[in-house]
This record gives sequence, structure tokens and C-alpha cells, in this order.
Amino acid sequence: MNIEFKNINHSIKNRKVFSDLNVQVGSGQCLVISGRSGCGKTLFFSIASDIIRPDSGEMLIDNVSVKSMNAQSYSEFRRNLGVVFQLSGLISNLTLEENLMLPLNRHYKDVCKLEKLARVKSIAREFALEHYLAQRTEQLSSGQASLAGLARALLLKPKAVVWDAPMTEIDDQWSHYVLDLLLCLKEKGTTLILCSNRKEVIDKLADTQLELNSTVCFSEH
Amino acid sequence: MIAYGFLPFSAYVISDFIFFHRNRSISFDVLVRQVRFTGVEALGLVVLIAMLIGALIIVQGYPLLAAIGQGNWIYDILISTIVRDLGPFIVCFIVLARSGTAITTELGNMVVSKEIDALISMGVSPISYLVAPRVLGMVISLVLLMSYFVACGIFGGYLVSNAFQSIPVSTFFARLIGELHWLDIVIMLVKVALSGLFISLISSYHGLTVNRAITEVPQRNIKAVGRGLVSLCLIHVGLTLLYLVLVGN
Repeated sequence: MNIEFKNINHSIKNRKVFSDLNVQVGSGQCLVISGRSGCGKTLFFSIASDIIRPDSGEMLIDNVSVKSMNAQSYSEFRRNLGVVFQLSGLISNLTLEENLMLPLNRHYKDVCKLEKLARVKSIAREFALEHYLAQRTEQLSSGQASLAGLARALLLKPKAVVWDAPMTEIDDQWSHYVLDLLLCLKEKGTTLILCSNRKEVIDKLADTQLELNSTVCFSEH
Repeated sequence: MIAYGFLPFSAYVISDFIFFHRNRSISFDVLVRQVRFTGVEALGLVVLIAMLIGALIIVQGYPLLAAIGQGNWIYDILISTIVRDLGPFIVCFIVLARSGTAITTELGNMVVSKEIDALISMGVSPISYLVAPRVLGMVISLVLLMSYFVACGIFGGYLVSNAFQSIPVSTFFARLIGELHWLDIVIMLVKVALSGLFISLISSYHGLTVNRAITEVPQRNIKAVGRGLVSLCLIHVGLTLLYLVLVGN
């Protein structure tokens, strides 16, 4: 999936955060957004996951503007975009299993429940969460919740993954596993957009790094 | 949709009902949970209040009416208080205080913890998944609660009236039904259904207008309860006036 941000301008309370920002990331490439706290990494994440729309400018998916997509194309775009939040974004009054079933129920209405359940169990096993499926997500540790958020994003085998502050809550052992997993996804052609300052993420995954400061800097890796 | 204000938000939610069957794979569980919370778990409280009010009307009213030789008016008073006017208002007020505040708090907390953003990112519409089933659940629950309230209020009244004058149960209910007008039932149902619609829309709207801070949640709750109460008063007074016009008083 080719993702292009074209002439993005965005202000928060009269403070200009992005001014004519242009950046592109293609299939199998990784864009890492870095910068000091408060520079707009999470804002970029929200724009990249189309949770908020910029004041002006547009996001193009394979040269098609997200704003001009019809309902069917937009649903397809949502299915192909895995979004992982810094604080997991799991729905707190649902069990882990219900959380993982949610995107499947939304995008695969016609698939039988058993098949969806098998997929949920398989991804939960991958992240050592199979014993927590019946628990409400508020009972999970922050590390487990982060892994569950990642599992939910990868459940639909997305063509692109957008992740805000990856691996901040995950222990070292799982961090290595997740880094390898992201590398593997990248090699398979998944587009990655990661908002992170972590050195190992930048060193291991970044093809393009966008440093958000008073002036935006690019560096190719 | 939230940014456009309450009326466009309400119109969007109501239009979403038409397509409820399309979203039932994700929304049906929320609907069941809402009916269980509002319509079933509030049962004890509603039954207790209904029986106390039914009993109180007889205790206060029967001796006065009997003293002026109009003991039979007690049936009319039971219908007007339990079925038509006081009963629906009390049930709606209980639901506003109990379930309306719960909806505002829950949705407000979901906004703060980015759960709403997570739903959007999965392509799940928060209106279809969170608001529409809650609104529908609230309307169904209020009709259910009102039915319990009427049954228990009248039964409470019957139990106490026996202390003053022994009346066979069949006679009591035959006289009561004789006094009951079909318009009483219609007005009662319209009152609770409209109140359920407005309570849930107002509560959901205020919950979703929380921005980032957890401290906004109680502030929104206060606003939701205030506006919910005003809308309840307007609905109930308006429909009572309409009833009086229709029956020609």
C-alpha cells in the first residue's frame, strides 16, 4: 500500500504544527516519525490513521485521496490499515476475545463464527494471550494490553500498519520478537508508519525518518 | 457528526436505526446489555417505588374520598397517577438518574481512553456500535419498566385498599379497567418512549463531546442530567396537555 501525505497543514489552538508537510511511504517500506515530546508525533499518527483530518492537504492511498473515497472503498481502506495505539485502545467493557472479534465481525460479516474464533485464538496464541481471552481487558497488564492492541491490528492481515510509540510498554524479550515480526511484515510488503524515538526501531526498520522539530528534517536510511 | 451539534447528531442516530439490521453483528450485544442494565437490573428499585406510591395514594386518598362519599374516585386517581402522569415521570426520572448518567460517564471515559478512536480506526462507526443500540435499548427498557411499574403500583394500591375495605381482587380490577381509557395507555407509552429516546440521545451526545480530560466527564454528566430533566418536563407536560385536549377537559 502506497501512502502519501500531500501539503499537510495543521494547527492546534493557533499553533502551527504541520506546514506544507509532504512525505510518502511505499509498499514494504517503513517511515519512522521521531522528535521531541510535544512535536506532533501523535498528531501525525492520528492523521495517518485518518482519525482526524488535517486543516488542509490530503492523504493519498495508492494515489486515491481518502477524502474522495466512497463508503465501500473507505471500508476497504479501513480493513487494510492496522492501527496500534500507544495505550492499546482496547474496549474496556469487553473481554479480550470480544475485542479481537470486533474487527472480524465488522469486516467479515458472512464468515462463520467458528472460523473467526479460530483466527482469534491463533493470533492470541502468537502473542501468548490465549489464556486471557475470557478476561476483560482492564485486567490485563499494560504490556499484555499493548500486545493485544497489536494482535487486533494484525488480525485482518493489513497492508499497512500505523503504530504510535511502539513497544513503550513491552518488555525486552517481546520487543525483540515484535521488531522481528515487523521486519518480517515489511519484507512481505506491508507498509509501516511508526511514531517512535527508539533507536532500535529506527536502526532496524526505518527506510525514511521524519524528524519533527521546528523545521521538519528528512533522512533516508 | 458530534461537531455539528445535537440536532444533526440526533437525526443521524435515528436514521441509523433504519440500518440497524446491517450492523447487528456488532451492535446486537450492546443492545442486549443496555436492556439488561436499564430494563432488568433496575427492576427491584422500580417495583419498590411503584408499590410504595400505589399504597401511599390509597392511604392518603381513600379516607378523604370516603369522607365525602366518593370512594369510587380512587380508581380514577390510581389511573391518573400510576398510569398517566406521576408513574411515567418517576420511571423516566429513575432511568435518567441511573442509566443516563451511566451512558454519559461510559462514553466520556471511552473518548478519554481513545477507545472511540480505536473503533473509528477499525472502521466501526461509534454511532452504529455505541449510540444506536443504546437508544433503542433505552426505549425498549422504559416500556418494560413502565409495565412493571403499572402492575406493581396497582397491586400495591390493591393490597392497601384491602385494609380499608375488603374488595375481591376481580371487583377491584374490573372497576379499575372500567375507568381506564385507551388514551391513558397510548399517552403513557408515548411519554416513556419519547423520554427514553431523548434521555439516551442527550446522554450519548454529552458523553461523546468530552474532549481529552477525565475531569470533563462529571461536568458533561451534570449538563446531560440538567438537559435531560428539562426535556422530560417538556415531554410530560406537553403530552398531558395534549391528553386533556383530546379527552375534552
